[in-house]
Amino acid sequence: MATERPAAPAARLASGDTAARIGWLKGKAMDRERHLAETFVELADTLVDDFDVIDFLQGLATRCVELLDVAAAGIVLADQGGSLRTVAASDERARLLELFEVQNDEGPCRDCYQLGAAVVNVNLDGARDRWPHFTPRAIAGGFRSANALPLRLRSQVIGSLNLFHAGIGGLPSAELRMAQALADAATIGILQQRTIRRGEIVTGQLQAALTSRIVIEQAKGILAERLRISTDDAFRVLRTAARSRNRLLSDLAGEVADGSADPVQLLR
Amino acid sequence: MVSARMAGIVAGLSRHGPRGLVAVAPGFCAEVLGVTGVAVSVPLAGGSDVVWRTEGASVRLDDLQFTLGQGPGVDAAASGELVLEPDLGTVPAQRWPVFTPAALELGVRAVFAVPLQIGAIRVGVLLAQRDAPGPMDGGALSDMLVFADAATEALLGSVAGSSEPQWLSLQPSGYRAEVHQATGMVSVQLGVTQAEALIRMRAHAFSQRRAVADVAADVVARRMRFEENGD
Repeated sequence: MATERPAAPAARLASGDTAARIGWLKGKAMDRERHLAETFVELADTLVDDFDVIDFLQGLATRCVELLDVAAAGIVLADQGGSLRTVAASDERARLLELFEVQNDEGPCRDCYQLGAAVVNVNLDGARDRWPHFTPRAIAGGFRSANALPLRLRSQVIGSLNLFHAGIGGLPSAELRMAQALADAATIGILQQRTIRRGEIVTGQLQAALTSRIVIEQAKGILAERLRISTDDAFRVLRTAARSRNRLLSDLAGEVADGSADPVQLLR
Repeated sequence: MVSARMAGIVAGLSRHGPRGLVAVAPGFCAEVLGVTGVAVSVPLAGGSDVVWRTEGASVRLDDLQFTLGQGPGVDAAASGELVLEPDLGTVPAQRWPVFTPAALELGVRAVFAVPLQIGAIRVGVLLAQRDAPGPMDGGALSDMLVFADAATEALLGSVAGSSEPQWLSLQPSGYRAEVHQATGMVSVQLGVTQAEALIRMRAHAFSQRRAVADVAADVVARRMRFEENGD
């Protein structure tokens, strides 16, 4: 559902037709405003009694890519020991996941988490000294600039929304505000999961999200081996099966991981 | 964030490998967590076994839960979620109809149960109890979760059920997705539980002086398989 750019007006833009250009830009802005409104309605709709936090965060990462016109997006959460763990990404390719994982040591997410502030529009070409391990990997992945927006809970930062761009220049300030709003939506989603009766709710919520993610990885491994497919495809199989059965992604992953669901049946 | 004292305990656990839990004084751990007692129990056929605990109420508390099949530890083990009850005096009677009054009788007023798990691999439960009501403060709860992770790693090293030396470096494997994916793959290759698959993978990594994450990457990329008859 990437924002479509109508071919004809775009062609006229190139010829310098000012009226057409303004019209096209207005149309694009309105499309996006509508898309943004729809996204927040959709996110709010998802936050019902029994929803799946990983599915929610993955949907949100995908929306970031569409709305903000970035190449990839991911969400990392800090565990109790301060390690950053990947919980969702706009796509599940191993190569992209690794780019979030390496940021446990260094990168925009680590900086964002430690500073407690957004790290915006970093041109990766100039960041080789700042993040010697992360930067070459990101550039090899086809990215030229990066942002990390904090997942904020009062004064605490619980994680980060990471946005990668294929070009330099990054996001204008209006887009950055939108990105922060999406990061805040992610925080709300994490805190909204079914819980834990009382006590340290936030800690329990974070722990539950991190555990869900690990179960999904284990289930991906089982599916990949049993069905002779890649782990990337295994995620798609799992998600498609969960949706077509109207099941929560984490519940189905749990059944695959503990052996109570037969991988072959998921293909039907 | 983890306290300096808990960081010390966890470092000790990692140094001692599978016997790590025995090397940690339960009383000191309870003191760091600001509770009266702590216990770690692992599931056994038809019940559970307390493998490490402070003396006194913690032992009785586990007996109770084992006998009754109800209580915070039972719930944490079944759900994989934290069970935090800062005041047993206000827990609705229907929740644990027999356990709650019996625990209060023992002088226990607050219970905090943390499942010891790596995703779907559940190795036991850590239960802390206090003789006074009140929540665990955020720092203590962070400490408890960090300790739970280290205890999980230590227990996984000790339940290998094999005669070969099972000391496996307890390198934290937690945040690499490939380790968890490979665990699932190896469990299918060997026809074993995920717990055993992770142990086998760690043993292999240790014997080859490699990082678990590197072995896992080879498994996921299908450069390496674990076979039924030795790897």
